[in-house]
Formats: sequence, structure tokens, C-alpha cells
Amino acid sequence: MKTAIGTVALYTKVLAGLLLLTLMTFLQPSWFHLTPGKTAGVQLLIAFMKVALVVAYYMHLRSEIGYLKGYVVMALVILMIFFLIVGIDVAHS
Amino acid sequence: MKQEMAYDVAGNSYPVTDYKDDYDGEKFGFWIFLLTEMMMFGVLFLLFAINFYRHSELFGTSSGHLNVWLGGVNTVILLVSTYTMGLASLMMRQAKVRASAYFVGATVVMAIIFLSIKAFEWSVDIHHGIYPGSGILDAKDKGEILFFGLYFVMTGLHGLHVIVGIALMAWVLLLIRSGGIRPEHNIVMKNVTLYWDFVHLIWIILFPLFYMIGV
Repeated sequence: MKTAIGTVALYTKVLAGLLLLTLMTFLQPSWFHLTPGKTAGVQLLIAFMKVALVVAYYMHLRSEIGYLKGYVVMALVILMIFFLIVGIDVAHS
Repeated sequence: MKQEMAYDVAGNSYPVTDYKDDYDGEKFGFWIFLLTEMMMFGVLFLLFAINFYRHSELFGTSSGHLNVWLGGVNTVILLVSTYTMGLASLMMRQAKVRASAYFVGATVVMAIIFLSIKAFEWSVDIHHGIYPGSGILDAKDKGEILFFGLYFVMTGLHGLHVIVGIALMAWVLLLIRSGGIRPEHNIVMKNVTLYWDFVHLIWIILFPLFYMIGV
């Protein structure tokens, strides 16, 4: 079983990356002013990059067994299908 | 105690291991729990998406009423607290028990600060008559009512998870002191760290959707 390998240096680099992305979150509205809808789109893009960093390195999913990764991906796919179906329904109502 | 044996169809015997120390099983089980939590918050984010689709402009103006600086400070606090809780787990695995306890303590302090700022934010909103069911809010447009309804429900549910996180980390500190958590037996710490990371993940998505769309 692969054990999660993490070092202080790695954790600190990830922290720096997260802080940088957080800074981008704050600066985006002043860089380019968009409608609320487009702002949400750009902001979520940055947010998902942060989520990916946390899940991969702080939650060690990167070094977990394939079985567990499969479970996480399956849950995300189910949620996305849910979003898609309801989204189509709302768009046409 | 006589070793219990299990036998397969071919009659080969296998020693039954004690499932109390099944690190991988406990970790896997906790991930499954986190995925159910993801579904719960996922539905709330879906609800937000639907109403945001229908009332974009009003969601934008309502978002403008929130204090983006307080929300931003909370974002950085939660981010750094994920780092300290990660280091706590790391130190425990490296048998640096005292350092590990200090990092858990630092995480608890930051979580309390986060909650205090959130409570202050809510009190300001409530002071202005902005809370679900208030006459002032009900007199506003439907989009604003929905925005603040979702704001209080989702930040409230997230705040509840922060409170549970503080309780769990206090429990971790007690277990470290009693030896219930030690370098060679740290699954509880691992899972509490995963839980705290999850609480941070929710805020990573919550913050821009509520605070940044109206800046």
C-alpha cells in the first residue's frame, strides 16, 4: 500500500500556490470587469484549481490507490450528471 | 487468546486479523463519508446555480452588500489552517508528537477566529434587518430574498461543519495526550485532517460565488 508521502517543503509550495490563486481571486474583478455570470465562471475556474491542489496534495489523493480515486471520480460524475439534467430542465422551463 | 482462522473453499487456512487497526479500511470509509458530504453541498450549490441563472443581476447587486474583505480574510485564514493541519499530520508520521500537537492547536485557534469573523459578519447583516423572514428582506425583490436565503443556509451549514471540526481537533489533542494517537497509530488524525481539508474545499467554492460576483 503506497503511504502518503508529504514533506514540509511540498506543503509549503502548495500553500504558496493556494495563496497566489487566492490573490488572483481578489484581483480578477479589477483586471477585467465582467457580468455576474461571467465573473462566476472565471472565479469558479480559479476555485477548481485550488480544489485540485488541496485534493491532490493535502488530501493525498495523488498517491492513493486507484480504487479510491475511482470512487471519488464516480461521485463527481454522478454530481455532474445531476447538475446537467437539472440544468437542462431549468434552462427549458 | 487462540488465533482465529478462516478457511477458503480449498481448505486453506488464513489467520483472521483484528479489524481495529485496519488503516486503509478506516481511511477508505472516511472518504466515502466525505463523498456523501460532497453530495449534500453539491445539491445546495446546484440550488444556487439555478437561482443565479434566473436572477443574475440581483444576485450580483446582493453580493455587493457583503463585506468582501472579511470574507477574504476568512479565506486566507482557512487556507493557512489547512496547511497547519497538514503539517500536524506530517509531524505525527515523523514521530514529532509535540510539534504535531502545536500545529493542531494553531489550527483550532484559526478555526475559532474564522467563526468569530463569520459571526460578526452575520451580526452586521442581521443588524441591517437582512436575515431570512425579516420584513426588510421580504420587501425586496425575489432574487435578493433567494440570495440571502442561500447565503445564510450555506454559510450556516459550513459554519456548523467548522464547529464540528473544532470539536474533532480538540478530541485529537486529547487523544495525542492520552496516547490514543501516536506515530504508529494515527488514522484518527489522518481522517480529521481529511475532514478539515474538505471544510476548506467547500469554502473555496462558496467564497467566490457569494462574495466575488458582485465586486
